[in-house]
Amino acid sequence: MKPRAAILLFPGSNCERDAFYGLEQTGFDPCFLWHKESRLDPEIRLVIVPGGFSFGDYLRCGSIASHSPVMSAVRKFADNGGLVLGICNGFQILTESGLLPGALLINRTLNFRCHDVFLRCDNTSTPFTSAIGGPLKMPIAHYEGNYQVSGEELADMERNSQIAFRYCGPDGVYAEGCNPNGSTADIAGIFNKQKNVLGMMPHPERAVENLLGSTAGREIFASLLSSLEQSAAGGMN
Amino acid sequence: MRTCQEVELMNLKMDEYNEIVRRLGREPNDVELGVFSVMWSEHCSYKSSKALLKTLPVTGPAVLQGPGENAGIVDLGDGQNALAFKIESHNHPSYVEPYQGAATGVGGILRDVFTMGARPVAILDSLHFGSPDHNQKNAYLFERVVAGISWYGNCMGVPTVGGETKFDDIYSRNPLVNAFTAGLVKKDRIRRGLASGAGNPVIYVGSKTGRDGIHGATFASDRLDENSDNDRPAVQVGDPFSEKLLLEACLELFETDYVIGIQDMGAAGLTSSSTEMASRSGTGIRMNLDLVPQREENMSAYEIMLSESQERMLLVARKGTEDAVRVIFEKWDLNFAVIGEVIADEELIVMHHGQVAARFPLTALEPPVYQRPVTPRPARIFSLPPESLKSDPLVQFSEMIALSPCLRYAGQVFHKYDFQVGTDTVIGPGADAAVLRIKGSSSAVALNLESQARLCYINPFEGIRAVIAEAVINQACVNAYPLGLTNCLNFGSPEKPEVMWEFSEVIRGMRESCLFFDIPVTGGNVSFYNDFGDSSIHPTPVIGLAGLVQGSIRQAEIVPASIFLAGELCENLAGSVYLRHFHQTPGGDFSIDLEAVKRLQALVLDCHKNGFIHAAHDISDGGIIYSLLEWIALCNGLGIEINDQQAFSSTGVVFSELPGRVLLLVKNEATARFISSAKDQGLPVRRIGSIVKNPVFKINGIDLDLENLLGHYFKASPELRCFTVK
Repeated sequence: MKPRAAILLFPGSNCERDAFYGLEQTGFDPCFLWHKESRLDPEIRLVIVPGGFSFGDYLRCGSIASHSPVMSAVRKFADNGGLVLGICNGFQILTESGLLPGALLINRTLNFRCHDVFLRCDNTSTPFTSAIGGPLKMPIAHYEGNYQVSGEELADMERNSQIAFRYCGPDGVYAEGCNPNGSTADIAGIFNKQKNVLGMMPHPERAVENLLGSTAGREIFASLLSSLEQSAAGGMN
Repeated sequence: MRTCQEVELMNLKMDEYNEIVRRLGREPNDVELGVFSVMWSEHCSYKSSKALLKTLPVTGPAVLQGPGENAGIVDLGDGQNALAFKIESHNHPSYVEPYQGAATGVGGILRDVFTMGARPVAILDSLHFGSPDHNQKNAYLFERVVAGISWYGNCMGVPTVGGETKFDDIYSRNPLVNAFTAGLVKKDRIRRGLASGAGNPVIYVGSKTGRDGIHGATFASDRLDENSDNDRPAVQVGDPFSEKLLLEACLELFETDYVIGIQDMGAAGLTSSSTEMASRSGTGIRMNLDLVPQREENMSAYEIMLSESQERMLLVARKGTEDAVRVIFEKWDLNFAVIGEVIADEELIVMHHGQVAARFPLTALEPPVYQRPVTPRPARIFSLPPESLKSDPLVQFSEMIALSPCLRYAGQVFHKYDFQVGTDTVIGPGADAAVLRIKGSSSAVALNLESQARLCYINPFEGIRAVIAEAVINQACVNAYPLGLTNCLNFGSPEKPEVMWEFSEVIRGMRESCLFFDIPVTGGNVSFYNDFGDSSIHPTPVIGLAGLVQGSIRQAEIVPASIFLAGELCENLAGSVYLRHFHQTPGGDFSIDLEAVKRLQALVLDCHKNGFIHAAHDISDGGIIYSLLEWIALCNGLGIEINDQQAFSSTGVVFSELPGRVLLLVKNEATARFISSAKDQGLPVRRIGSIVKNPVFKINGIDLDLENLLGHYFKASPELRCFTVK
């Protein structure tokens, strides 16, 4: 049976249909979950916090959404080890709700930017990244993707292997100008301490077909699928 | 009786006012006069253009909805999907308040498309500005317009997949911001702006009404001048978040059968939506303005009727479904109010504070149609000093690309737009046309916008033929064939006979070429009064094509192979960047051979079908040499070597931009079949060189210093180079 994945739906979300399609393409059974819902169905194995402009991003990005009823349910889900993936605005919602450390500021170039970037995965021993091989080509589309965290916290995160992705050149090594937004330590995505919550600015759901230029996102969804299959086989929740 | 001055303040002529009095049999009150004033504005009434627009071909086997609705619709031929699409201008607001002006232009055209029942899937923009180099105002307008479009489109989650950005100082004081949207709708789910069935409720949904944009349609129908900055209150303020909620709520509503008809409250707001829906249905509407959700206190009936507050819709539902409709809009936290009902008599009755604020028969509102005077063809042939063309074109190319903002990588613009959201963009901005796949269907659509204002200035008849020819060829380059055309006709004041001559010539040329290529016109927009003081812009008809990809989607693949030029060599420099840059003139007369263009279209489509080519690219701005550079600019490590003395020694051939020639990257194994196929179709093709595996740009042995050229090419957006070069 395909694992059930819930995609949160806030007013102003706009990548939820892309996430739905991407999950369908990669072996999941997706459904939408309205922001006013206060509980998650027990069969849900993965929560996606999709991109967009939740509540118009009129306060800080993700801030209003982080206070919605569904996020309390997601917090409980994550506390019990449930897998949560926040993409773009979803990453912002996760930092605002305290599920992930740090904050996302306006890009250093002060522009919205939409183009492909390359990512290096720093920790392939997680449920999100176990199937990742070489560098990943993936699109970004954001105005506020400049990840910032204090030096102390960063050192802590690095010790805990919480850095998921860093921007890099096509060959996987750092290249001049490869960081599109000025993020600390070229960070593109991070885990929580337990590695069951991932937030990232690039869009894996947009990279699941050769027709659109990249299948790198499949490596993340394949990792999740195999991790969920293993935990199901092991009889764990 | 009102004075001439009072009437002119309402942007009406005295004889128009007298006609209103005659039709009503009395003086209109202030609210009624306001209604007549906006509905008879050029923007809403098409009073100067209607007679000519009627001559355009509007029918065809694929047309499901022609002009007269909020958007046109064509059948995509897969048995289920149709494409709604339209273009609209937001020129004047974008000059006065570029960020909000451009943003609300995008918001308006999105509503026009989703009011037809369609989910918007693509935005394209045609932008014309004065050169941003050495002119801060132009640079400011350009930057803020792009930012406004980016804000609105990105927040709505609709990808901006293409368009054009052109610079010419003729637009310094009247920039053009034309926005196009296409949306997908199931053929049996199309919605229209109707108000039928007496007793059915008239429902207001969306944002509250405020005092913004009052008389915006009238402002759009007036000249800009030194005092236009004072017209800021006539510019609407956008809220893409509200519009996103409105979109989702409307699409949810369209899944039901509650709706009789729906229309966007765009230009002229509640006035135009209510009167147009009733007029289309041969009914009337009674409304109580006290029930209209209002953002500000003590709004008068006049203000409520004429406000152009954004993100509002008027709908007519089946009686008895009001509560079910309310549930949907309240789920999305949107205002909902039943404000009136459909009545059998063709009459508008507007109540406010228990009084009749306006009441008149809708037939009286039918705007006048004018046959404006036209001059004979003015002298616009600009001869060139022959000696000026003698110098070396290759040297001139380096200089031209260094100094011309038209010849730069447009990534500075389109990488600020989310062009991928929706995960359907197969070919994005920067290509000859954008291509979107349709999930769950074998059909794919190709979309592009084209204009050539300098050609239309020299000769508007031939100019629009060139525009349509180029657009058709661009579609062929991505393996698509056009299904329908939408136009945005940007001109000066129609009260100038010379402008009316330009307009009538453009319509004549459009009619002829649409008939020739068998492309129906499914709607569009006329923007007159693009004047600043006494001077008008060049006639700038922008056309948008929606086409169907033939067979499978083909992405360009730039690899080492032979480059062929298909089509006759052409030396005519009319309208070229070259002439404008080096000679400050649009150039001499020209003519377009549509028969040859059609043969070229057939050849390119044939090449795609038979798998002869890796890529095809149209020759346009900057000429053949610039088109070649574009091919390798985004390919790290590849270069071009050209060996063709005849085609690359004359300035005319190198820089001519007239349509009718295409670059084809032919597969080695298909070369012989390709050549014989071209011969069969009677079209000249010549091998001019090849793509090579080292980064050079050599023409007949001369090395053009590729790195230097690319430095200029990426001048406006150097930080993007490492992300976009593969």
